[in-house]
Amino acid sequence: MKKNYTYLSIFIVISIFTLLFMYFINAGDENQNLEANPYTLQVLEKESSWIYEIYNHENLFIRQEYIPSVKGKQSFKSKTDAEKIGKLVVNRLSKNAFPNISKRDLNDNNINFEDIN
Amino acid sequence: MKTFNHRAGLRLLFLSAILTLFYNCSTDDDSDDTLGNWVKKSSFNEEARSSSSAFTIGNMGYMGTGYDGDDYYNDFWSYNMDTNSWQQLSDFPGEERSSAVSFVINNEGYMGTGYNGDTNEELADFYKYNPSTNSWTQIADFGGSARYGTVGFGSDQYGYVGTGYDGSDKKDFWKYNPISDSWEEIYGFGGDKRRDGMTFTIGNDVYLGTGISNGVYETDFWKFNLDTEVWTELEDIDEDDDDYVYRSNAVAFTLDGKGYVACGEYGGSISTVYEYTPSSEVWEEKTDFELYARRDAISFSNGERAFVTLGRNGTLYLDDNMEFFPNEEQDDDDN
Repeated sequence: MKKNYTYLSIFIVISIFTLLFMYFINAGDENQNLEANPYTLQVLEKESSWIYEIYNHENLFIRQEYIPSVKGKQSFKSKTDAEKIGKLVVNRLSKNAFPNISKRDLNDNNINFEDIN
Repeated sequence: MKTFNHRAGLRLLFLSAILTLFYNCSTDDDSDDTLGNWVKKSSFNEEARSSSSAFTIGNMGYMGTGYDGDDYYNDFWSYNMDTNSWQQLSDFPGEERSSAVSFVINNEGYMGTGYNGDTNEELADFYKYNPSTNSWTQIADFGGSARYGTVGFGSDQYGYVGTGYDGSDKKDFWKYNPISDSWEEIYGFGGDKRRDGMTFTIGNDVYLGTGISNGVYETDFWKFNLDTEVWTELEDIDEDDDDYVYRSNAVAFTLDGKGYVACGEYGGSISTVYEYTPSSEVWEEKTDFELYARRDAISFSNGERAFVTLGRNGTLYLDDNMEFFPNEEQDDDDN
């Protein structure tokens, strides 16, 4: 009888420790989720055109000098254009999606570009 | 009651001792003497892709197309080795695809063939990318049958594509001439037919090996001289019983005059890395790729730096971008 109690109490102690351990691990995860999006956007002017840079924490991740997806070295003609597409990329990154931009995205956001084929 | 507490305490102590022991074991397993270190660089996140196609011009790696488990892609990106940053470039103009092939002739990239699973079709169309104008031009369709899983390489004047799978495994080779914009079959490859093999180029010699045909991993190993266009058979890659170079869907690259074969598939996804020294014709094992084992990854290499990125492990699609330093000690803190 005494032996059974021993096993039972050890089992309980271990369970409590496991639960506490899991709780702390999960609490850590939640903190990470609540942490601000690691991606930040910077829009810069370069020789009368606009480019965007996306940083993962403090590290440069994407530097977009040309309008993505379209043919030729076309640059964003306004700060708003660069900002709109940059935000879209950050949005996709924070949803863990591949951050590729299509011509459709450019049209949906009224980006000024030439559709050359 | 007192003894009971004592015993319970002892057992707990014992348990934590075992746990601590296991914990130490898991972080201290690199006691072997293989050299090489993998360092994590700017990576895409979570929903990545595999079976993309890649080429390198100078310090820029170019990557496009691929498959993420749901969709086929035709987007195209550059990776700048100096700034460690990506840029999305002009879309690949052909239909979405995976397992395309790429090569470089004279600072222009070429990409074509492949597989579109949405239409279940092997492809033969081919395109040229000009980095100075960020634009693609369609060139003559591949001269052989539409196919995927080929190998490709370029010289200063010509591009070469061969082997692959068009419904059955192939061993034919074709040469692309950019001046006449035409493909011509070249003969002399005496190796086995295969798909998903690899090549690496050292000086004017292209080394071809690995790949699979009808479930058999190919072990023959060949050298192609870009000046003479002559194939020479070398020692099989399984000649030394301790070397496990044979595999399929691997990546290959060149660093400081040596060839490297990394990751790929052998039964399942693997992470082993082998170094080939052309002067001694010897293979040597290096530090394994330090993150998930993977197949259908891509590599960028300009002969002085090499990166391995993307790929998949089973149905898990991967994003990490790792730079390889073959002569450094392995370090766990830079992954």
